[in-house]
Amino acid sequence: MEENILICQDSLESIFTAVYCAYEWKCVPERTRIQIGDEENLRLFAGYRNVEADEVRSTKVIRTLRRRFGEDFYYTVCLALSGTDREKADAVYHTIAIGLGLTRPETVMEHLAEPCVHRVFVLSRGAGREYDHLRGFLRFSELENGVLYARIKPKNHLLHFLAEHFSDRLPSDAFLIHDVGRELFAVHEPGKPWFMVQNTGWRLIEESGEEKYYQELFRHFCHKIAIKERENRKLQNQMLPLRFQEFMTEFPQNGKDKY
Amino acid sequence: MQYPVSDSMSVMEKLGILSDAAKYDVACTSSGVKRRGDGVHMGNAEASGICHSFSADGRCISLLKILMTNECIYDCKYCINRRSNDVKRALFTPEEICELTMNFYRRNYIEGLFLSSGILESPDVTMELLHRTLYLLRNRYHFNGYIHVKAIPGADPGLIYAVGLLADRMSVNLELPTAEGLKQLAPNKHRKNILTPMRQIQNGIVESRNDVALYRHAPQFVPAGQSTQMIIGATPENDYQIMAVAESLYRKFSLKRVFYSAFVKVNDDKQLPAPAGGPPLLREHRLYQADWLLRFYGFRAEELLSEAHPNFNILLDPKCDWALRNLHLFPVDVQRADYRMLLRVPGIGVNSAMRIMQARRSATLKFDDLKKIGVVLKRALYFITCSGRQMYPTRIEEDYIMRHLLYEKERLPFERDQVTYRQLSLFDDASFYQEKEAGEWRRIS
Repeated sequence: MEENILICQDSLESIFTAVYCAYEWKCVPERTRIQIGDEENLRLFAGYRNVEADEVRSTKVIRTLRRRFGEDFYYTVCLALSGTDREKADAVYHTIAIGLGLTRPETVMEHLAEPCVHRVFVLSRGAGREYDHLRGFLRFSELENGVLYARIKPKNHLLHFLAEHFSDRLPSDAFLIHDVGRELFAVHEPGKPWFMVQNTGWRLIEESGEEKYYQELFRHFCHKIAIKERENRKLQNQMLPLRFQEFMTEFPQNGKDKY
Repeated sequence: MQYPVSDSMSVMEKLGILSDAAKYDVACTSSGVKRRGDGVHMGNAEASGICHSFSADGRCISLLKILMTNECIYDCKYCINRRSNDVKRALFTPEEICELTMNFYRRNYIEGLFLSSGILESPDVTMELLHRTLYLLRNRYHFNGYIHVKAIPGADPGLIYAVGLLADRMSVNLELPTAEGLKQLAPNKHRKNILTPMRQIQNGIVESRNDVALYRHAPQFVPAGQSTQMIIGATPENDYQIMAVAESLYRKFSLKRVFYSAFVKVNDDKQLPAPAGGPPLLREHRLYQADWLLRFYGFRAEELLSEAHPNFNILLDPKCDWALRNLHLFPVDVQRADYRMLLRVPGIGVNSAMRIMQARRSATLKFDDLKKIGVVLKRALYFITCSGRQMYPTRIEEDYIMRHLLYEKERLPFERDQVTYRQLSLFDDASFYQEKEAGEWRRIS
């Protein structure tokens, strides 16, 4: 029996289009895979088909997910797809296929004994944890023109989640969140919806005069708030992994001086 | 009220003194209330709370934790800010606190403000200062983030109510678990004075919830609930007394949290103990573990401890300890046990118990699945069965399980050639086990 392998790009739109195509072309889920990027090891007896990202189709999939599976599931899927795992698209596709076969698709995440559901669960949990961390560990610094600027380097592609969170929190501030690893910026202007830009070639300007003062104040605070008798650096690093400390104001080794 | 003018100390210096003075306050949580931003002003709140940093002692920094002032008219023996101590005193103005909070919050350093204070002149004067600060922060600076404020025992109920309408969480410190301890170490504080505002806040919260149910925009009073804290190890109470106090606080005062603070000796006083190995951190840890058992696992204090057995086991966590004393209830089958029983199995937490409940509707769970679900099998395997079978043949026997749970590296029951600290018995011969392994093994005594 021939296997179908659908090849798509690593973006929500492309993956959801591939899910749509799998149904449009009447593929049988058991013999269908969705693969991200180029084919690595070509298989015999498998038909490869490329999928072009298509807004209309992906929107339809998103609508179905939200309607039939509920907002929670849609959120879980988005988190799972923000990771770097190669198998994520396939896991999501098969989870959707299982869900559509249930009387109540919204309960599909309860079927943890299914390998693909478990995969989606693990991926979304990992991304969700990193998002929870970054919500707290992200640090803005004020630039000369009053814009807030933050740098992050997450494993998962969390920029849109963070931009959503901070535009609710700081509606009247202009801010930039810079994903250093992916060279992407989330831009927010006061009172307007945020958007994302890539390859800007922007040159960063100096920090504002007040900025150094508040950074120093916060470092002083962090130093004073620790109880010496209880010092436990190991616990500190366990709760606040080193990879986040790179961009944090209160840790002296951070790369702030580099730019 | 005439605002007492402080000297020309810089904000940096004040922040140093007043956060240093506030560091022994434990509650640095920002949870319990979900509030979307209003689209114009700064701030929102997340129900789960957000940790923004961790200090060198591994404790979370979530709020800007400061005292309004460290001046105090009281002379509590355990407190660094007591009247008779010669420490540098400072006083923030409300504007300084607002500026700090807004600027820290904007840079995402903090989740909000934790404001406490020493007693300046009288409880009323202090409470009024706190109120003025919060009023400014909410109404002039339009701060919409999280605020935790201390209610000062002895302050006017009207003032406490007014502050509660501006804050998210309020707390009154119980300080010490028993009235005798309080009398001994905090001569100016009385148990009754502490419990009165606690009761007032509790009633206020209930009333406010009822109002909000009727009128959606009714003002919310302390929406994130109230908490308290007590010092552990400064007075000779045992764990059972402490847990009983905590339990009654949860039951009778509907507190959201009780915090335990390991006693740190900051003053030399003949009435204070001198803990040998620093603050009793392990004891504090065990109390927190038990506290979770009370709040989320359906345990009662008298199940965990008793008059005859008044302190927690240093070596085992309270849940394992309980399970070992109640082996007649185990093993339980994951497919059939009810939720309350699953929660009582060591190695199964709230999340994994919920997932088991959901997953077992559609599948027969195996040990592999349990591992995926998040059950800690190295602890749970002695207490559960899947499809009527245990993971490995083990003995349901207290010292056997205890020995295996305590071994520092993960060790499975079939590795049997390790050193044990029991008296040798005839059946400790390795070959004896091999013969019996195939069939069902029973202990011959």
